[in-house]
Amino acid sequence: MLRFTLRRLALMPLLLWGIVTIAFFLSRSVSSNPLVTIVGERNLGNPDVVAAATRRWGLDKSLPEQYWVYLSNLLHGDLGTSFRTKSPVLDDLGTRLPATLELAFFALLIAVVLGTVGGVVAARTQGRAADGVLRVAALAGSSLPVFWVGLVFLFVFYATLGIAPSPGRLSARVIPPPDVTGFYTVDSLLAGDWPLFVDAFKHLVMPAFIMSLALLGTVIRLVRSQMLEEQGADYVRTARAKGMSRGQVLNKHVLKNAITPVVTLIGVSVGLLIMGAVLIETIFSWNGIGTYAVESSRGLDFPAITGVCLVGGVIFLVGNLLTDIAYATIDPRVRLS
Amino acid sequence: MSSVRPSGRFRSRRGARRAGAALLAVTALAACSSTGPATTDRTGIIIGRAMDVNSLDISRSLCDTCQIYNSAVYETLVRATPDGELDPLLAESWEANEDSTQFTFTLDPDAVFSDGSPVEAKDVAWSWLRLQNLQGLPSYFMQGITGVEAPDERTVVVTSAAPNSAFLNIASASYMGIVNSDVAAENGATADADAASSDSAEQWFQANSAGSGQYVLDSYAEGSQIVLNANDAYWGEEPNFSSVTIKEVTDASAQLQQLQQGDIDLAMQISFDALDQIESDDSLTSDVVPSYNFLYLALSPGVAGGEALQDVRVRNAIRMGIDYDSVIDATLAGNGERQSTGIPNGFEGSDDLPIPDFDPDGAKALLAEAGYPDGLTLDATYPTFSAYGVSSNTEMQSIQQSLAQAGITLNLSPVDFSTWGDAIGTTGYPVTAIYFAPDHPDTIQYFQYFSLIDGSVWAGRARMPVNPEENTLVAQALAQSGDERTATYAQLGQLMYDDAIILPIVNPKYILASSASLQGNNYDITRNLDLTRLSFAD
Amino acid sequence: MTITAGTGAPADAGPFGGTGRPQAPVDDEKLPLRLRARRFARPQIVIGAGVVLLWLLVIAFAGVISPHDPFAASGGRLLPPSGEHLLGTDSLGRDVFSRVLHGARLSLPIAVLAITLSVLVGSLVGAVAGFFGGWVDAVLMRAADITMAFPSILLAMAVAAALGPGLSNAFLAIVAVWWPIYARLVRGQILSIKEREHVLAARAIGMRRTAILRRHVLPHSLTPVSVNATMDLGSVIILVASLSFLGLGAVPPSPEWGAMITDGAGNFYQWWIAAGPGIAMVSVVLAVNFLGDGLRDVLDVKNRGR
Repeated sequence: MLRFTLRRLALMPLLLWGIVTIAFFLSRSVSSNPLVTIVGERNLGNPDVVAAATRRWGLDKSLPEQYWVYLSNLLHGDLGTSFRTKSPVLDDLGTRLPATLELAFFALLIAVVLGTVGGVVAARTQGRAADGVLRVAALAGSSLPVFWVGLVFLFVFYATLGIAPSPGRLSARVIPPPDVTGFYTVDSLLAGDWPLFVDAFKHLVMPAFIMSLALLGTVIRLVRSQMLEEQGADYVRTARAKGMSRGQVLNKHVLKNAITPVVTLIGVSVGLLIMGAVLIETIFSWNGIGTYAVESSRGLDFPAITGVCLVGGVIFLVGNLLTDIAYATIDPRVRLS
Repeated sequence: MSSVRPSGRFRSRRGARRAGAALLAVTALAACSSTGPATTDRTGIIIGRAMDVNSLDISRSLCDTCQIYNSAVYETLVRATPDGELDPLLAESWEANEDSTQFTFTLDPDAVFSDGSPVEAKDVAWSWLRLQNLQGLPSYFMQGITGVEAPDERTVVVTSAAPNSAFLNIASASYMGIVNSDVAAENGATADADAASSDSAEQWFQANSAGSGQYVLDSYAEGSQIVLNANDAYWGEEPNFSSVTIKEVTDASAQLQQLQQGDIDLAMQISFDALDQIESDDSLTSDVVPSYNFLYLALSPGVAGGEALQDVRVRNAIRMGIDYDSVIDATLAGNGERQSTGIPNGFEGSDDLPIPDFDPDGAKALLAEAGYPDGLTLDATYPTFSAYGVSSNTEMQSIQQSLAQAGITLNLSPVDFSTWGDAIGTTGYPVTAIYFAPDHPDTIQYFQYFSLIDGSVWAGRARMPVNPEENTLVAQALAQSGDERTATYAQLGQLMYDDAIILPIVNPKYILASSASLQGNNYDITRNLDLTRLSFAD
Repeated sequence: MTITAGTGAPADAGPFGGTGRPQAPVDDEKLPLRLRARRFARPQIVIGAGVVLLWLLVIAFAGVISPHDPFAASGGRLLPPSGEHLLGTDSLGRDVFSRVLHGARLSLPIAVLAITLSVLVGSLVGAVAGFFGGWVDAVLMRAADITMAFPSILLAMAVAAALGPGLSNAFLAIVAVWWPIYARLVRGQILSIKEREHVLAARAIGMRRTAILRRHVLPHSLTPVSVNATMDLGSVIILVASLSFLGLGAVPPSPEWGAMITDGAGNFYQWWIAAGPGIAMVSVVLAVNFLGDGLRDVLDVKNRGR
């Protein structure tokens, strides 16, 4: 177990270095110049301003030199300063990341809970109408373009019906809770402010639900198929032969084993959630990593782009690792392979 | 895997059901909760716009939102009124010498910064020298200034190398606001000659303000909102709001939604397509006023691909081949004006300049005369942007459609801003589109940017030779004032029109949209939104 | 991306082997063609293929069936749906319905091309890695790992931002993101087959490695790769549209669906501008997913019924 984990952990720095390098060189691409973002159209023709900006942001050094500077700073925990926000990228990420994580957490929760329920119902009603509907719905969930669905939901529930709150993490004049974790739900509970928690929660529902859609479909199908397979397994037939009712078998044995692949899913889904974050945050005015990534790539703010890719990569790899560890713990055969 | 021990995370389907029920209960509780969360009080205003902040350091910022921020938190020596006059602000009186090379300001003795310390001449000198020496985005406001002296606590003397009659107007620009030099210097700011490399205060400014304005910075959440609180130590008339929040609401339809739902009190970038909806909503007020912003096509005969444009007849043909009304309809639902040349309608000198008309036959005739009887193909590369209600893509597609009628085929290549910016100063584009907003109330800025004179940005980009007459006239105008100067400005305007390098497409109008409880919504050149004229109606 | 559960645990093995359920014969090449074809007549495949066929017809005949020119104004601006304009007009007065039909010519072929290229590049890399093993395998798989560790949308955005807007660049961005999946798939196939008896036998009699590749490995890889590719097609269509939505893909006046939805977002209250391309995209992706799902049920015995 330990060797397995250690092996995987040893690989991570290599992968992260690869990510950082690719992001670094990609963002300093051929056809564009971040100087435009820094000095603006008005000053492009002003040699003094351009020269001052070039020196200030280290753009006068050669590319390999810039890379070396970036890497050495990185090893000291300094991700550079963003061209747009003028703050350290680490600070920006620290502010933005909790917003996305909060959203992703609720999306995951919805996907797992609703998905498991759906999968179980589908398995129990196999072959009947409910099963068919759920299977189609599950497929639909993975087929929907998340950004369009977000717009549709906003249009229907916010603009037309007025039941959903406005896009954003909190209502208009609401004061955010004192910053402890950055999760508005957690921080408001820590501050004992129940109405604030409710407000933050209300704003999470719609974007988290839409973010969960792709995953929801997969969870339903996965749980359903696992349960169906388990139902045919020998140990189940033995239990039935011994007189346990179908329901009992389902609830006690099959479900537990059916959950296992869902655990796997959680790790793999991190990538999906990040993708959803970029699009959903744009539509729901969510001040998270997604919007930060979009704004940074538009302005060629490469310290920020590299920082985002690094964070995204870390999350992805850690998620995968945790999943693999969990899976290996549950199923020893994986460990030994 | 086969185990008959009942255990596991989800013990049974009941577990999942319980979780679901809990979720439902929380949601139900949420829905029926009667008391809302703690809110900012209603004497604070929330303004919704797409924040384009590049910095909160007044001497490094250059953006529309920055103008609102700078003028709320810092103050200038003089203040530009809507009628084009200059009123006292931090300076109670001022004068220029005969040839406009020296300007003397006398400061108001009552003026104090937000920390209570008096606004002194040394602060003015420090702020303006810092602006110049930082070589940041707004440093060109101090162009040509050779010295700022503070002979005593209330007197400031500014010296300019060449005559600069526009300086007083320039001094009203929000970027010329005065910073509390002691506080800023304590936090890494410097006005020394090497400030470009030694100043380290920008990050401090992202979280603090050090001005004498009606408001002080409370917090800045990048990409989210700027919150200002009323300055308790303000030396003049009490601010109209206890707090001002500038909230990031990125697009026009989101601003409309939030305005209608009451989430924002004022929206700054509503689209004209939404005007009907606002007008029919009693809880909102709206007005359409002229603005001084404009979008233009720039022709660069001197770059690769622009050879055909060397002939002024071709350039004139392009001007005639654009169906301005149709473009204005497509982009602004008709809410815009045509404009003669690179001077906004209403600015000094713009009064009698010729307004272009759509004349496709005339264009074809001119093209034939210039040697293109079968028409002409040109490549237009432009940045993708949305400015003052106009989407560049919509604008260019509409122009493409009308130019086709004049026999001109325009190939469109939208690119992102960085790519465009990179190329425009180097290889250049034969035809491109961009926009311009005024920095201050003096027309000279337009000649300095667009005319074919030494140091003009577009003369450089278009690779056009300098016109000596325009050079002379600009220098002349800078030494004149009053009607004399207006006449020179008019001459320069006509020459710019004849050059046909800059073809304005539209001067968009501006929608003032706010909740009906607000009065005094306005559009201001130097402040974008003048908060001192805005208030909640009682 | 298609998610397949687990990292290798054979889910269908009970304690004595076999699931206790009757299984169809694994190697059905012996069945007559007619009977084999019958297996494909499941409702999912029929519906999915039907809709896909419909869209293929649209792509072929878009020019003929469009009531208006998708690039020119044919009516007033922002008109709601009517008999004249089935899906109304957009901000430049262009017929939305015609633009949706023409958009199919962009969104779908680009996605198919992207997947095809990803499959080709990925399979090549995977084959080389699996077959030659050793450090070649290690290097190639690390490259694949790094690419996969990149959150796909970020990598696609970074590549598209680097190359500039335009559908062809978005297409390259997608290939850059997608190839590792097929590399791993094919490599996995090769690794598992390498040890099978008939391959060992072939090596024993001296068959060259490339011949083994051609005759044994590739045919066996075809099934999982094609099933995967069909399932991925939907995701790629959405990814292309997402990139355009973010401004990194198609450029105006292109009627690509993602770009149209961006327009629609800007004219929020004119819901028809975003509804048209959105529903079109959903129908295509759903159909493709149905098709892929059904194909997987038929062809991929191990994962049947998921």
